Amino acid sequence: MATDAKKVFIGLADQSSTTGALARGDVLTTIPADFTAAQTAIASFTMSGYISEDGASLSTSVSTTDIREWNRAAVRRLLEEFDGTITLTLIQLDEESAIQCFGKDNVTKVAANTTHGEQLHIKLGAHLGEQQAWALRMKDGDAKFIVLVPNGQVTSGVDITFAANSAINLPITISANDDGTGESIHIYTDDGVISA
Amino acid sequence: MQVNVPIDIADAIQQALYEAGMRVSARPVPRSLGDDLPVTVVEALPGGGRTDVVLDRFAVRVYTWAETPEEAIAASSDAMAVLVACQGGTLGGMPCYRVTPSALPYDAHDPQHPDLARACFTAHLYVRAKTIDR
Repeated sequence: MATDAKKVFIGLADQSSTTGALARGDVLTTIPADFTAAQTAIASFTMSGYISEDGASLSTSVSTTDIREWNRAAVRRLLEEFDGTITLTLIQLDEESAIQCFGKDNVTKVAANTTHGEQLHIKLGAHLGEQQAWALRMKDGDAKFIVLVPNGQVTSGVDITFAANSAINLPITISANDDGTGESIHIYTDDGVISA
Repeated sequence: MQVNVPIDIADAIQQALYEAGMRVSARPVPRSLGDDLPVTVVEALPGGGRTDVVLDRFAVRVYTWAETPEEAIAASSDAMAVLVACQGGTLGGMPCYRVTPSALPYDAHDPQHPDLARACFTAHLYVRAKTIDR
């Protein structure tokens, strides 16, 4: 394969003044077959606000068990566990970011009125986030990327620093569950180069 | 053969400022800046470098002259805001990935134009290199 610098991509958040790069919606039971279908599947998702400049990380881990013969040489390796996670930090503290981080059952909003601003009540306790579909949207020029977790939930504990010299961060880890097809995470790309 | 060349960052920023409605001038700084102030000039600084196959890191200083120090600082702040807003968009036709101001607008007296006020700020930018055939 020839080297092609145009195929070297940078992961820039696909966001605008009205939409952030992380989106959530109902668990997907039909897995999109390609990028266009993925875009359609997440079109109605709720978008986040700003994500920190550190970006997002996608990690998978596989643990295995070795089957060894009499003389201890490994003759086969069996899959023991698979884990996939997306980690990022939200830096916009509003209702949607709080719901993404803590779950909608744990966030209550009181709308602004003539005596106070928009108020949030966030409850922390011994509970995991609900199962939802999550999508991380990125772009590089005309190229676009979607990392889709059809069934995932926030499993991170809370580690928030309140300091006078930085934004209030909401770090979250989204753990990917099996989507029903034996997969957990799907990456869709479109290099943006249209051919006639 | 394909090669990856850095964009002319000063020209690209000047173009972005011009498109945002600001008056800009190319270097060298004219002896007379005229009456139509404020006016902004962009200087590419030494440093920066290629951090990846197609990713260039630039350092720039942006000067703005005006009638008064307050006007110079205000216009410089406007220019900085326009530049920061280029993040996620394009500069010189190439994707601009990150804009980080490294010095906020400050009063920078210009001995060449002692009757005017001058403010400047500095910034680092990450912009994709242009891939061309040679």
